[in-house]
Amino acid sequence: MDADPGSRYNQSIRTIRNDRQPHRRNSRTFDRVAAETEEIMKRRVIGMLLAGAMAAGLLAGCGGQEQGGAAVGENQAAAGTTENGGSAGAEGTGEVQTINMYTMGIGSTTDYKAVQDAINEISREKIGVEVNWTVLDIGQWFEQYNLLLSGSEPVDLMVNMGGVSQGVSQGAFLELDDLYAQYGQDIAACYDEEFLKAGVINGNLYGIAGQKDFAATTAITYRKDIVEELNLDVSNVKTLADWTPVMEAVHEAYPDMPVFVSNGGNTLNQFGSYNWDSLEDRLGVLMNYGEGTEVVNLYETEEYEALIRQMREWYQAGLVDKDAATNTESWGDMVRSGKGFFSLVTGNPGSEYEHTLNTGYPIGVIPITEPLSTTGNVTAVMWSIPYAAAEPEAAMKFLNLMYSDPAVSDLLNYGIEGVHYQVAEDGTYTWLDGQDMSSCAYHPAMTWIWPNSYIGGEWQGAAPELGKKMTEFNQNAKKSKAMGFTFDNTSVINEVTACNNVIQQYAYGLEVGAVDVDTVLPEFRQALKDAGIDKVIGEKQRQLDAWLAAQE
Amino acid sequence: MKQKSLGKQIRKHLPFYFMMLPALIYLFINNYMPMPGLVLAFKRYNVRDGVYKSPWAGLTNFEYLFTTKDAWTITRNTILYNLVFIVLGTACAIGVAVILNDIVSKRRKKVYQTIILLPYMISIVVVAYLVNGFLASDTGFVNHHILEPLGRQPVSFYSEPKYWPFLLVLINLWKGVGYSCIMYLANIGGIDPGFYEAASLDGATRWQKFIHITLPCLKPTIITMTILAIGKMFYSDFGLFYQVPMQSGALFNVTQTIDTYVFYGLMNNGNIGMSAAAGFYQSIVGFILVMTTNAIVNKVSRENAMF
Repeated sequence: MDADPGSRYNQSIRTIRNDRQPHRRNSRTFDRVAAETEEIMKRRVIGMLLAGAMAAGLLAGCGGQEQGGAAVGENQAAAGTTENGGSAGAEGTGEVQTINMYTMGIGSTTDYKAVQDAINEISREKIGVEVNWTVLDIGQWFEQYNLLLSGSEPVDLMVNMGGVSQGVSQGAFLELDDLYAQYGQDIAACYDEEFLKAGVINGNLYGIAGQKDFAATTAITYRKDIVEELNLDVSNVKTLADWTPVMEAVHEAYPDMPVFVSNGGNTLNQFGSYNWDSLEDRLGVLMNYGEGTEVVNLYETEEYEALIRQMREWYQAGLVDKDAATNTESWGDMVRSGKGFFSLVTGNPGSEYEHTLNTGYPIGVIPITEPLSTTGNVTAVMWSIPYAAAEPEAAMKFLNLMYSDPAVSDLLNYGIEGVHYQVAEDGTYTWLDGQDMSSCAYHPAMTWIWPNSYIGGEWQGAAPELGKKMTEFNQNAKKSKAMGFTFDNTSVINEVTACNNVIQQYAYGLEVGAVDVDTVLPEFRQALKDAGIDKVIGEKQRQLDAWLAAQE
Repeated sequence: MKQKSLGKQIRKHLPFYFMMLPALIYLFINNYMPMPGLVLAFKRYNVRDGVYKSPWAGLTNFEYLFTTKDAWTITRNTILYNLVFIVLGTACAIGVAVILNDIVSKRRKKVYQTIILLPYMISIVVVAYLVNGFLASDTGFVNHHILEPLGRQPVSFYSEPKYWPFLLVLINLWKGVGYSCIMYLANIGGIDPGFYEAASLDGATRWQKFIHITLPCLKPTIITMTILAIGKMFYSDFGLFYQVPMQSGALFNVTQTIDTYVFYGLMNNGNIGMSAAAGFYQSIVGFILVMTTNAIVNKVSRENAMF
């Protein structure tokens, strides 16, 4: 060895020591520096320890479910004698319970805190509950969703964008049957029993959908101003083929603008729903509006092939956005920036207004399928109480209040009167003078997320009596035979995983017409077979039959 | 040298242990404490029972990684891309480091280095859109401003797998070379200039100096970096393979890696046990690869082995 590293280090230590001594003797500077350094070190160490404690807490949070869960169980079993003294005793003593509520937000709304305080004033008085409201942005929401379910975050009440069945299979949600019976009278009053079934999994109620569209049509959703400008007649359009001449005319007038734009490109299936009940994941569906109970492979059907052939025809005629298969923007964003004329999206009586508001252009809607109601339509947005919730009863009381109190509904939808909106002469609500969607600090524009948006005031220009129309729409929609059925894919999870990958690989390109149907469709079908779709369908059929038998 | 007692040795090196402490604590918290969570790979996870009390699932969580027909494709893609990244990445990093080192003006050196480093700082999502700006079918720079004026047919890049192995390697190099060359640049700066002076006196060419002085001096660093990279061989840069090809299904044969496959397969059902299994599989294979590589290095040139 040419140099012993140890000896070199020793030398430097000696140097440091020698350097130290004079300072110590001569000045206080060193002491001060040392103290400061120590302080910084201490802070750092504390920071480290804190981080460690947090990480440990995370683990403990996962591991400690049992205790939390047990406490909840006690709460329910022996209401009134719980160890934290909260829950049932509260009403009598006038004590206020606080619940943690998590919802999702889109866009520029920021004033949640002010609205929360306003809601609390009502809820404190009426039910003795205050809410601590956390809003996660949509991107964050999907990242943190599993964390919310894990029980390491204190969540008492949360909204779910689908995924309830997934949470239930992990045991993440509380059975709501008893709480619902005890505190959910107002929910029951505005809820069609038929739709409540969708939240029932394995015989227990886990999720309650808000009052919204429980059915959908697939609709040609287009820019009305262009149709009017070009004097096109769209009154006779009933099918996609009827629409082709309109597309051609628009293409001629606006050659640089893609006529058809996909919705969310490769993030959403173009034909996620149509005139079939996709039974959640389209791996095995009920065709013809779920009239029958035979689970079939959608991708082998003539209907599906006809749809993608139509898309291919449009694509080859230059009527489809060339980047539709890889574009990740929503159709609304594309239209808003003037890069598209129409898309095929799901519709309901409120769509026209909603899209007009979002895109900034007058939007027309032509349904090309009849309204169909499936489990998926109802479970798309559901409220649930996590298993680890500390205040499940207060959470149910608060949920019940959101269903029944018009003032709370108004606050959730439009914010505080005079701050976020004003009441016009005709009684409808409108922007404050000089404000609009982008400058108003509270206007989530998500009527579908709140438990009951139809009991409050109406927004100026929105479809009048939307609540009534929506209820009619829901009631008159065709009901799938599998309405209320939830598929548990645990036993075929390997096949489902493989099929999801195959669909990711082929379906998006086919459904916007970007690839050749004759060569790719057979490939797609074969790949699905290889991935085991038949096994998934078999299992689904077995579960559906069992479920149907249990319904009788 | 006389062997000192262990206690004495520790006391002697105490300041250095103290300096190590923050990093050790970090390592412990970040890398060792979550390790018990690996048990999730063998569990049917259930919120109510928690991580440790959930029922055992045996190896069922791993099945989906191997029973699929795509298992071969995703493994091949992951390994081959990583191999190319390691070989070309190292070569380019050294090349760039040597060139940067030869720039005399300090200011210019800094400017160039910053420019080369810049892509590393850009979020992969932004990179994906930059690439899209070049390659999009309708509005992309390549189709609109290069192929069209030349009278060539436009290429729809996002549905043509044949271009992507090159594109992905190119993008990876462009993005990563600025960062990885820092290490080599620092190393080259530390080489005794006397070697080069002596070589110049003997009439060595630039290339000879590089082969006989620079490379041998960099050898330990190259070996260490390569062993570390090999440990990550079964992982892929998720952003690069997910964002940059814009999730285009037509490209899956050349862009699907283990990480993207797991993501696509599980994003709809969020099965924690199965994603933990994928992570477990990747780390175990990584561990074996590191040990093997190190053992080989140990045989070939003992002084360069990591342990």
